[in-house]
Amino acid sequence: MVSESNKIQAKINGENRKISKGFSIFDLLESLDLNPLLVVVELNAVIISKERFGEIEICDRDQIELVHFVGGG
Amino acid sequence: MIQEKDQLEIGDRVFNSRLFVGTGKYSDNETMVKAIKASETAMVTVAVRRIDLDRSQEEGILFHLDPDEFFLLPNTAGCYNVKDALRYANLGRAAGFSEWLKLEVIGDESTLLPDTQATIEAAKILVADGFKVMAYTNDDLITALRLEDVGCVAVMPLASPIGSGLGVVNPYFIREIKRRCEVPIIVDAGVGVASHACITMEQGVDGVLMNTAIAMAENPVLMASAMRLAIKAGRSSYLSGGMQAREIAVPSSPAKGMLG
Repeated sequence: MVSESNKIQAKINGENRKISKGFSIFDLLESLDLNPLLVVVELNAVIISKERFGEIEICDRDQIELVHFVGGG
Repeated sequence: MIQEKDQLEIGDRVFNSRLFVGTGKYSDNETMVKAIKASETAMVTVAVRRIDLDRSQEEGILFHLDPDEFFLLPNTAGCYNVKDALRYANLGRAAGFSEWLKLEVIGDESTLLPDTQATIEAAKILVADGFKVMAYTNDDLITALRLEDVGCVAVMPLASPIGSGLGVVNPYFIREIKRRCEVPIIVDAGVGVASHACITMEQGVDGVLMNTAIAMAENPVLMASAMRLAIKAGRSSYLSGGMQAREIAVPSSPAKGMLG
């Protein structure tokens, strides 16, 4: 079992969630079963291009918004 | 004869339909896709929202609509100020399909009427940033002209409030906006039934964008088909140069040659 010290806390879509230390954005999307091609990611109010999902590591207290297209007029 | 080749040019793109449709409010995604196909639309609007982390990704529209088949126009619906509109616009562009955007900055919750000053301000910033902005606005000539001035590729005055289904309440202003602006005029919001769409196109505008009228019909697929025909009928009626109405009767059959 992973100890608590290996976890960090990030705010994802307004919810505080514990995630593994060292997780990249790509890892996070994978853990949430989300297709990276269909998701737009904003990290601390900055949009992250899809090419960088694998290289950007999530830090403690990061604020992450995961958005996608839904029906709208 | 319905005009067979009557393409619509907006910015650098050519569209084969003058009907644009939204993707919201459908009871299910299967009906939405069938209705969109029946409408033969060239462009569909989508909204940008948070992913519900506890639900499946099938909730996302791209799970159902192929961006290669339908030109997607992200909107900034739900934004009440310039800052939010810019944020949503950039999120929509980051999805990676195009720089096109339906700009909407709302000024009042109960009527959903636009904040025209904020819309112009946001449009100016977005155009400078490379967006192709189609701006939702009031049926107000001066705002339409300002939106054109700041570089919007199309101006989209409302027929009547969003989701109201009242049809075009001020055809005179819609005609005046069309007469004075050089960019395409796409009437957005307020159409309720097919006759409204037809009457709107008869004002000479370049197209109509609608969502609720199709999505909330008892049979959305049939209404989508009706809208497709109404848009074509209204366009042909406008192009045909209809007769002038008059308040007296004029016989259609010859007065001469009646039996004595």
